[in-house]
Amino acid sequence: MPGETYIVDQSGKRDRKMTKADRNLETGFDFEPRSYEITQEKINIYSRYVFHGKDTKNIHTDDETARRAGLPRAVAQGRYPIGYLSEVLLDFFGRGWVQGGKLEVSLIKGIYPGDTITIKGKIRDKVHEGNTIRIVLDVWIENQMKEKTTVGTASGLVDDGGERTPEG
Amino acid sequence: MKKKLSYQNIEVGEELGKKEVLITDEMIRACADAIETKHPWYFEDSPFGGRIAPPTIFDNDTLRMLDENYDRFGSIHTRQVWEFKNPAKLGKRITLNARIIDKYIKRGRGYVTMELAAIDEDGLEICRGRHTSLISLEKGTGK
Repeated sequence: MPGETYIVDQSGKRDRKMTKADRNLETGFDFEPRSYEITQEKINIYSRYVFHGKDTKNIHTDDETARRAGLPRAVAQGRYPIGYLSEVLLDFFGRGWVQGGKLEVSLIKGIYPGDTITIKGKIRDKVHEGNTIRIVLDVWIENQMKEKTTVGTASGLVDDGGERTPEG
Repeated sequence: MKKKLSYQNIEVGEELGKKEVLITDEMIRACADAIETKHPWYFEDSPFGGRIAPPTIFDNDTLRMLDENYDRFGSIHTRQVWEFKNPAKLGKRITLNARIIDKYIKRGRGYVTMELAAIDEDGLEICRGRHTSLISLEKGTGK
């Protein structure tokens, strides 16, 4: 239903809820972390999508090709951390992500088949922007070894509830 | 004929082209499946009036447009910036423009940054992204 936020866990059930971004959330607030398992099968399916349904040997699907590129083995596409992050932030901000969301991340470590990655975020700032408040978060992704693989910031808009800055 | 993708061959300011994309049910489902979401805004209805695509639906188009100009062995996505302005709605035609905005060497390896802008058929800005990839996969060669 429009306006509601459902969280879909990996079994496809709509039973996980996430705190919704709100002007009353304080800096330092951590949103609920969410984990995903990365498998070679998922990587291959995504590669097929990218290459218009074709199976190809590339650094994501083939260990030998990845080694020729200086990687230890086939590595997940960068799209995974970015796509997963965006989905978590959509669930957090709702329409304030679709209209006003900003994401800036560095992919600092590869994600490999067999990894379990966890998306995390913490509010670092709240800034008035017109009749809205932009909530700014530090966001990052950790693998199962607690190593950060992706780091950066994200922000989205929430209604300011009538609060106005002295100028506004 | 395509140029080989190398640090030397990349030209900052180069337009990678323009392409039109129709947002279809198949596209939305494929993208949503890949990032494991069944968000109702993608499959049922949204507050924007009708179904929308995941905001990162154009995540691959920057590289696809690079590949139309360059022969790429492989590259590693190292940085991404996205600004989401409006939803990409099912059935809308979206025009994508991509260009190379920077290249640099870091720790002996070459990187390229590309910018993608998406505007729908009504002139509404959908999103703007900057994608940085490591393109010199052999350290120190600049190739």
